[in-house]
Amino acid sequence: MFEGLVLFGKSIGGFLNAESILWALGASLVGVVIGALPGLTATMGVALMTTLTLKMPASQALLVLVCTYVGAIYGGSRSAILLNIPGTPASAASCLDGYALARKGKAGYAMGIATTGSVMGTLIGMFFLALFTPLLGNVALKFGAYEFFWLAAFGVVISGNLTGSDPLKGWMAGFLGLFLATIGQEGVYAFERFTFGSRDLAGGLSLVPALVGAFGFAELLMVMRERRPPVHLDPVDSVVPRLRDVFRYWRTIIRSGCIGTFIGIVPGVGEDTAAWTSYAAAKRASAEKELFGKGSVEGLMAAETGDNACVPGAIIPVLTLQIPGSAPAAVLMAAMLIHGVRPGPLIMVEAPHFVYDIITMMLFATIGILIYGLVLTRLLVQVLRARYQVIVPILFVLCAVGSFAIAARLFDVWVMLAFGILGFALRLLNYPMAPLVLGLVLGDLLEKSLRRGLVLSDGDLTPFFTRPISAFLCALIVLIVLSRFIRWRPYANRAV
Amino acid sequence: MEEKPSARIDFASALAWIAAGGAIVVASWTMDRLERHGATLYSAPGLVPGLLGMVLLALGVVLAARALRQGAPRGGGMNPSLRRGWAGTALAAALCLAYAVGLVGRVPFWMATFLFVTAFIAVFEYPSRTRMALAALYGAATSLAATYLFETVFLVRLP
Repeated sequence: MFEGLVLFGKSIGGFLNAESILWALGASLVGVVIGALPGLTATMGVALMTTLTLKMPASQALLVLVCTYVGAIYGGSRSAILLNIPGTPASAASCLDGYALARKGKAGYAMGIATTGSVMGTLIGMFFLALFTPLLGNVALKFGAYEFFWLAAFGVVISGNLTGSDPLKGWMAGFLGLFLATIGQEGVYAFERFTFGSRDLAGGLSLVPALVGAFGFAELLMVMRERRPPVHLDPVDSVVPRLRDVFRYWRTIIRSGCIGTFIGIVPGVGEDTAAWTSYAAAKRASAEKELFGKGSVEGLMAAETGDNACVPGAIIPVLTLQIPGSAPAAVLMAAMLIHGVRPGPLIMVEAPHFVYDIITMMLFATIGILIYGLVLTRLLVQVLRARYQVIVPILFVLCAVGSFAIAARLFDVWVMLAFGILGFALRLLNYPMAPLVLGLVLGDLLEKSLRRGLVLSDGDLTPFFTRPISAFLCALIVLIVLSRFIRWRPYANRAV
Repeated sequence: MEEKPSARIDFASALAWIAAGGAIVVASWTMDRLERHGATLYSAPGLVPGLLGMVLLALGVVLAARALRQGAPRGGGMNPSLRRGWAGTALAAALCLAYAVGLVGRVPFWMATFLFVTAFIAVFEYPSRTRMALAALYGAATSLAATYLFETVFLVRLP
């Protein structure tokens, strides 16, 4: 424990310099602004910032990305409260009570509650990140090819199951992502698959341009399709959070923080599920159930604590298993790999300081959102008035240049365009994007693990089902799929 | 409010999934198995894509069956909410494609960016003359800022 504190102290010392603080504050602000703009998500923000930070030292680049991630999840609450439009899907639950409070003339108070909840949520998540990463790292050391195969499959299945409203389409998106990851040379014989003679495709689809397309270009097209009219906002009251609310709702804060973190750990599920689950749990346990949906401070606090606690939670499996807990965490993991940081089961053996570096980055981001929550409310209100006709082309320039910057080849720009159009079409048809991204990220792990496992067992499938962790993960997948198949029947009848 | 495509559209997309899944299975099955290099069935390059193709095919069949139960291919059609906004989207997509495919890499980056941002804003701000006039200002500012930021601050090579 003391060793952890020493490493944490060293890490804080390492980042306590003007350059790091400026990058952290700047990136948090970028995150808050991206999160506040409806249609632009945390994944898009982290993907764009990944391309901008390629030439930076790894620690600075990851500081920028973590701060953008935390800032964007927090920023989504601004438009949820002021416009009843969630800035990011993670803030959808905050619309219910946040906007109701705003309509009562308490928009500033609601934003103060959102700031308090977000800060507390991130702090609780950070605590669990420090606590669970070494523990999960020890468990992960027992994982072999068989377990990693099931873990990758579990990630895609659970992500498809819980993100979006249609599990079947979620699974289809996830398996499409897994398939797209097989394009290019395979790992054993360097045999080219589905490349149609293209030299560019032989190297496979670059992850970051694909993510920038699926979340950046596709989101911009969605924004242009929906083109919202300019907003009119009423003046806001005081945004200073009150400590009284923290003490009054401490049970809700701790419960939501725990729920958010644990949902973050589940591969590929993400902040929106964390917010809704925390909100539902708070409503069940509340003495003021009737206020939920009509301006409940407790409801807003629960949603905001839950979604921000999910951010550190989603990073726990990235660090220990190389499995992202959410879509933005998937991009963050890709960025870590680009910068030569190799998370995984050996992280606590090879680079334990890195875990505490991430916690320090989270701390900086938390301070950033607290500052912006207190002093920049009026500027953020102005941001919400920005015209999409102006923002969209500027962001598209970033998408194009960012994709090019990865390897200085135009082919990556075309990959971004192709994934943007594919992502746009899939969104219109109600296919969620998070499983697609998770599939792209996990495809390599799934294939390597399956083939390695089969080679080790000389083609025998038994170890995939008889080793304890493998059997457990396999049973979970079967249960998830069966539970959904049984449920479809009444839905289908109702829909006719 | 969430937009859900009708059963008919789901049915059409299920057919596309079935076709894609089938094509992946066939391509994987006919892929070189590299037996001359000592590859076995479980280390053949087509194994994993073939399995994934089968899963996509199966899920496509389930989606088609569900859509049929819900009234496809007759009922439904395109939801009204899916019909709106196409003109703006198509125009935005065309401008973005023109920039990324037609301009980037062919003309200097600053000029490509200036032309794209100016044209995009001017087209979507039509008929407001004031805002259309501001488009060139936004274009110039974006072009200068992006070139400076990428090249000088982030040390990124520009196309």
